[in-house]
Amino acid sequence: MADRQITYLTDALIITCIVQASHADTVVKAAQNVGAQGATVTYARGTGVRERMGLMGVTIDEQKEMVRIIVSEEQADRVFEAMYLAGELDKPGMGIMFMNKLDRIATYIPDEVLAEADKPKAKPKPKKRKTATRRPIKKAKK
Amino acid sequence: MITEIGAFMHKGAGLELMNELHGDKDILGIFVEAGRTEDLFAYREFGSASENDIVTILVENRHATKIFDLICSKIGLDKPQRGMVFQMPLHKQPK
Repeated sequence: MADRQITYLTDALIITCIVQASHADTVVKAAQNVGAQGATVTYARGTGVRERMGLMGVTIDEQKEMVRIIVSEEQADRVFEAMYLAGELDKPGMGIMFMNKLDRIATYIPDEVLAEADKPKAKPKPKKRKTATRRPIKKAKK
Repeated sequence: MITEIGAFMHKGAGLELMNELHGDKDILGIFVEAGRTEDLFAYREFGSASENDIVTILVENRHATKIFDLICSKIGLDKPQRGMVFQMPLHKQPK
């Protein structure tokens, strides 16, 4: 047990998207198309917009699906936008989504990946600067 | 300040974890949800997805690392296909 170590990953965000039941797969596919690994989906029941929409509210499913995706900071905005568009969240009653920054993550990381990450990175060679060269100015002949 | 620790794990493991940790004085709240996941586990009961549990734990900041590491060891994250644990700050809390 003593040799077990936890590697913390940082610079990640969790995207949570709440949509009507059976819409989660569309949203997850869109996220995967732009680089997300996958998603975790749970079932929930929602209220609020449905009641405020009056008669139109009956068209909104009370049953919801909640999609959670953990992404790196670099891909967060891209995945967020893709999910928003795929879920048609710009239409009333379709759902809501938000993003939270994570302090840290832990999961299984293969030894070879850890070894690669521990390798000291080679310093990039400094670019040669173009130095200004002085040339003698020829005097114009009179 | 309170922090949230979330964990994705195999179906059934969430309830076990809750039963083990619910007596811990440092834990303010612990909740388990059931769902499906597409990328965490290779064994998939539903074609492209497998069943999983999502555990949410609320702890004070000063106990967060201890509880986080405890969950990691309980799940067994040194082996593949065990899930994922994450920590998220909560900026506002009821007085």
